[in-house]
Amino acid sequence: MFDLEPSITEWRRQMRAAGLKAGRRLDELENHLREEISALKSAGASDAVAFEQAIARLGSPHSVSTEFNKIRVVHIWPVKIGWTLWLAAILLLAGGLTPGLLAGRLDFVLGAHILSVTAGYTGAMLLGGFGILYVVWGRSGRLSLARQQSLNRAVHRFGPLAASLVITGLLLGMLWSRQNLGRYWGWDPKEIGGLCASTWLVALVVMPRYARLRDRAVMLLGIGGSTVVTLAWFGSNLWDTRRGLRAYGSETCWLLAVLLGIHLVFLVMGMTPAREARKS
Amino acid sequence: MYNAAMIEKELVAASTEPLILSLLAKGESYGYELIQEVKRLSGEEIQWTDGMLYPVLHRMEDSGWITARWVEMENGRKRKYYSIKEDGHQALKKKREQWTVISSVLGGLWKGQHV
Repeated sequence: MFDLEPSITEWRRQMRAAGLKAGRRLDELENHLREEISALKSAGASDAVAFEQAIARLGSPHSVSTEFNKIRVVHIWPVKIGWTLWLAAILLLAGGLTPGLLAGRLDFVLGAHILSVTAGYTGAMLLGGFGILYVVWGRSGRLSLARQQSLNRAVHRFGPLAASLVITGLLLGMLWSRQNLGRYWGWDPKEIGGLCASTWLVALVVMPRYARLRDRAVMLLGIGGSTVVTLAWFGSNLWDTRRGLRAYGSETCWLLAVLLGIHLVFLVMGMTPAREARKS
Repeated sequence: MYNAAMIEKELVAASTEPLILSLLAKGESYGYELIQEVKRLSGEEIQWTDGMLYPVLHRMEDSGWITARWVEMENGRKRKYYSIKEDGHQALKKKREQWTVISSVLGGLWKGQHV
């Protein structure tokens, strides 16, 4: 005598054995199976026939699992390391700012501004790093599909985060400026740099959605964003030093030159036609 | 009767995303219902292997084109409903333009021809 429930339990076991993890995906497929069985029974099929036909229509456990595995984006190690280092750096900075905030030595708005802008800027530079990897692997013919997908996903997910952090930092900076200097905006080089970085990062997020940009163009935008952030972060120090407003910028001159040189090299490399991605 | 329009699997695969986006643009739906709707609209000429639809739905969800929510049914089981997002509308617009171009070119080439 055919019993439907144990048969469905056995079908779930086979799906798990084929590599489909138990959870919402399997629940969704089971719902589908049950609806199909119900429809077939309504059309006059017996429990056994309905079950057999329904699992045949759903596809074999192996083929369904294979299809699900195709959509899984494997995060490559540079992306994982980048994310981890970024997060660790932000947590360290937050930890470093906290004592000053708690002791009242650091204004809360200023502390939040520093944290937000630093997180956004370093995030944007990480995006530039992903773009550079894309260019390097593309030029050397080592840009596999897995690498391409992982870098694409990282840029598409990290871009909005970096843009939001920089914009939040900019707004917090304006608020602090209003509270302490009596004005929201003073065309300070750092303010201009923040505005330029925000604009570029917003473009990086918005343009791929509304313009038909290829992956390479998005990656180059990422490198461009990192270049703008480098100028906003280190260049504004130099600019201020020349104007006599700040005295902590001159030592960053060499760093700025090196960073800009690196960005420029990879931007030019990226603009030349790259080899097609290999299937992996 | 010979089914002249049994559609090749490559063409079915290529049309899956625009079909899903077009159906979801009409309103929220779930996997089983989407399959039944495509069968009905195509006169059963488009035959998806049911289990293959779900990886596509999940990929589209990952891409930010569609979103999903679980709804509890009367029998206590939960069903996953999908709906289209703004990015999905944009993607549908692009796909619609592309399919319209292909349809228009083929239509022009085959005009007056008897196959």
